[in-house]
Amino acid sequence: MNTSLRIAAAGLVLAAATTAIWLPTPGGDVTPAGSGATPAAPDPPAAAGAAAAEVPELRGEAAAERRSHELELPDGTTVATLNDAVDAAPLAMYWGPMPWSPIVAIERSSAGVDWYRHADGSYSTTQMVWRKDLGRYAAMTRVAHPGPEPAPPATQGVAAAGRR
Amino acid sequence: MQPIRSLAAVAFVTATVSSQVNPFLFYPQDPVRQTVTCTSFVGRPDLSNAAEALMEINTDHMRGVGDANGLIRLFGVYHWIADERLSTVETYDLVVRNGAASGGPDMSPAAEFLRISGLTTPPSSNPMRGTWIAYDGFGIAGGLVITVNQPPYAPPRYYVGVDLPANPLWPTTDGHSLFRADLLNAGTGAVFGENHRLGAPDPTWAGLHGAPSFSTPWTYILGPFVTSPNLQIGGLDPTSNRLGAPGANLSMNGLFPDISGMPRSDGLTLRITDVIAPFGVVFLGGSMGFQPAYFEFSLSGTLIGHSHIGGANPSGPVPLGITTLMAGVREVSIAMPNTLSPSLMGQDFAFQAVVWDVNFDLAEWTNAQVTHL
Repeated sequence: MNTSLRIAAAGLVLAAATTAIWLPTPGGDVTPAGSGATPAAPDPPAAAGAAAAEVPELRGEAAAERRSHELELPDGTTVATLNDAVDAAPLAMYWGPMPWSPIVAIERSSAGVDWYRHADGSYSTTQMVWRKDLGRYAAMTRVAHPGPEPAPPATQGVAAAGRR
Repeated sequence: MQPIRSLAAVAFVTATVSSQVNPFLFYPQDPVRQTVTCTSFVGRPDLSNAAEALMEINTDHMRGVGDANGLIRLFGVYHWIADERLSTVETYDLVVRNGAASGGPDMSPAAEFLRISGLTTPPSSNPMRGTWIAYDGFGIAGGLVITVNQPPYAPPRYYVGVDLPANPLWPTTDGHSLFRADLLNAGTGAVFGENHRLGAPDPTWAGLHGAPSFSTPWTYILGPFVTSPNLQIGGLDPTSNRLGAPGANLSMNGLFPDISGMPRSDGLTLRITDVIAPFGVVFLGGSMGFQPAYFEFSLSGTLIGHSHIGGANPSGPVPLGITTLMAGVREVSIAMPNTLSPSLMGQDFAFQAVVWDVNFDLAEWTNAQVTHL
């Protein structure tokens, strides 16, 4: 499906990959849990176009800023990133083989992290994490699908002396 | 010219939206595509104590994992979280670290290629035990790069893992553990799990701070995300039900098969998987053990990665056939059970493949793996 990702990963066309990430996508928001609402409609493109005609440079910066706070969904739409994440990877990259399931709410965990809850019980989120290897904060895109019943827990330890 | 360029750009963007990455795993079954029946237990590396659950990637066994033309690039960690009480949030770190010269992981901070601290599980109102299939992704721009400037372009050993804090509540009332498949010699009485020949080394480690780390006799559902395709060698032992289902053991049985004939005489199969080119054309090859890393410069820009099964003729790989992936997977039989002579014991055979996406005219080497006969 995406050999381009493979090229980008190999460092052959990183510039092209960056360009692709910044191409326009419709914007949208998700309302908090409990409201019963679904993701809002994208911004009207006509209005954005009118603004662009008047101050094109400013619009370009504003649009880029907005897109950096958007999360691309596997169905091609976007929602706002969560937890103030910037430049998060598209959700499709980490959704796995499960069928796409739409977002139905935002829930905040007791750890203070906001998550999108999906109709099938999956959760997804974005968040900034400190990356010593990069020398900066970087966005993570995270997905958690409900899995099968766990096997019984192993309560027997390993005899460390017997191991290499 | 312009329409072609526009079309290419559109195709690129569309592909980016729909793209995924491959988890590189070492577990008896493929948890992404198969129903997992081989799990022995869920467990922690050192019971309720703090420890890192570490998967070892060792160039004695695997090469070219995440090979981006000489750099290792990892794009996240795939792992299954068993939670004894879903309604309480669990906290963990992700870690990738170098190996120590004396063996096992180097637990010093300087040996950490990556540490991401304080990740937490999703919210839940469910007070029961359950599982999260976790995709913790870094994205392309946030990929971890590990650079080793000489062949085979990888540290001799490095470790990918989940760092678990101490949790005295585990497993009685709460706590985070991982799905694991126990080795035959684990001494845990596991009915299902790994199936290998006796004497095989432990594949995972308990990384400890303030005490010596120790190896652990099981594999985990745990591994890094890569963009390279995966190749695993599966072991076929028709006398065993350790898998809990028909099929090949894709981890320890393929790496350390038993062909002694006393009584086992395992067969071998290759499994190639790729979500990026799920219908790609696969060129399979092999060699007697790993060969020096070889980059085909005439295909630079078309073929990503290095061969570890030989270079240009006359030292090229032994061709083993051409096939295609179907929905991201293909298994190819190498040797049926009871066909490998015990006289081959002690030999190493290496296997690797190229997955070619004909739509984009781009190909990439899988990782290479040996089977230690």
